[in-house]
Amino acid sequence: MRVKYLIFIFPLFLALFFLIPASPTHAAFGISPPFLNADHLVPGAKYQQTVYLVQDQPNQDLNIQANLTMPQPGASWISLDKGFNFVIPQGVRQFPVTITVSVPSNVTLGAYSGNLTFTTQPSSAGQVTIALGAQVAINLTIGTGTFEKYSVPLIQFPDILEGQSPTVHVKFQNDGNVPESFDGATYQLYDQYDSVQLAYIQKSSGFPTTAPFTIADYNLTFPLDFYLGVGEYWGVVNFYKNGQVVASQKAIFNVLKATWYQEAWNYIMDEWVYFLIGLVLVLIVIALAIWRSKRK
Amino acid sequence: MATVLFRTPDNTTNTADSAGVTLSTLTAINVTTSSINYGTITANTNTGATNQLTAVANAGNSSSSLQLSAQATLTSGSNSIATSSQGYSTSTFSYPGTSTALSATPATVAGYILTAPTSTTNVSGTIYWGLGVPNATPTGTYSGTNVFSALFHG
Repeated sequence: MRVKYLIFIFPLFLALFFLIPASPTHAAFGISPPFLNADHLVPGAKYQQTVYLVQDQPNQDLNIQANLTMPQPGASWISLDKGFNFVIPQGVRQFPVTITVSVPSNVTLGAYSGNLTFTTQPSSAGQVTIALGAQVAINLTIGTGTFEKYSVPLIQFPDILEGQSPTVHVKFQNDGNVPESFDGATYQLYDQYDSVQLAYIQKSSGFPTTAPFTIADYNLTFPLDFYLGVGEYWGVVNFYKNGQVVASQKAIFNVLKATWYQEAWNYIMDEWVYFLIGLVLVLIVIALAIWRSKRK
Repeated sequence: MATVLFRTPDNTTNTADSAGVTLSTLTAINVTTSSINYGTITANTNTGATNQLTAVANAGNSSSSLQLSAQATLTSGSNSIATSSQGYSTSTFSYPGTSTALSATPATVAGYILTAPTSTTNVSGTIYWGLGVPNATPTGTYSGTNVFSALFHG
């Protein structure tokens, strides 16, 4: 009797388990940073800032609608690299959206403000579904003065292969409204104990220029006149602008063992002029050989 | 920034600094209830003193205020209930009482600030909701969408 009772009850519980709708959980949603303050724009300037839409439960694709509330003409200057309707793919917690402000050349100087709201488009849940939003406050000031402001938030010494010259990775952030670049650099190479200086290299050209209101990532190579073997080394770099040190870094890096084809490539890169001359000579010899065989 | 001190077996020492890390401002909220259900209400009546509650937590690292709006008004087929029929407040109310009518345009909830969290304890608040159903509203199941937006508050 009891077994029959259980046989009847068990499927009922099983059915209830699957039929009761799971209570939909709601993910947190936000934005970083929640503001775009560009207060040194000049007519004709182009300003870009990336904001990140952040969610904590990226269980499914999330439709987003962006809505810009800003009086004209300011609203017409603003565009988004993703457009005003887009999807954050499943699994993505931080989704970058680049906001571009293109100031026309004939603009009236002054302050322009508004806000940009990103709103989720959730699937229907209950009588009143709750959507989440996050807002970017936009404050633009258009003036005429030159504004210089830059920083170097990152300097790294990437590992290199034996035979290569030391390289420095630089992140240059130009917050001003004029192009910026370094005008000089020094690089000191030390042994693994940071006690013996192996090289001192000065560089006064070849620095990339960073456009106004942009961040540039680039590598700078400091050529050595000797073969740098496998091992650990210390590097010290100083960057100069107008005779002043504006950024510096000291760190350890590794010189790694190169494979034969990496060595060959390094050789070609270092001695490319001779390699080119040799290649041309070989081609001339082949062409002569073909020409002579055809004459016979 | 962190500084690491190295010491070799022969007691030679040196130090190295890591690059500094900048913590960006994040303004975010989490509404822990995913929907508001008013239940069954007949035409020409309202929810009275029975409020529906939505809990809003600060999920960012900045103080945040809250904006509310309707993304889609309550509809049932071709019938609809005006957006302003929904009212909200930061405390309990008997509809319409002290509630503010919802609108399609985002409105900042007066005096409602979720301060920046300083520990693992949630900083959260509650929004109370009510609904009035106008006279002669056809019967049906009405659904809509309300938007809770986080607004940076410094």
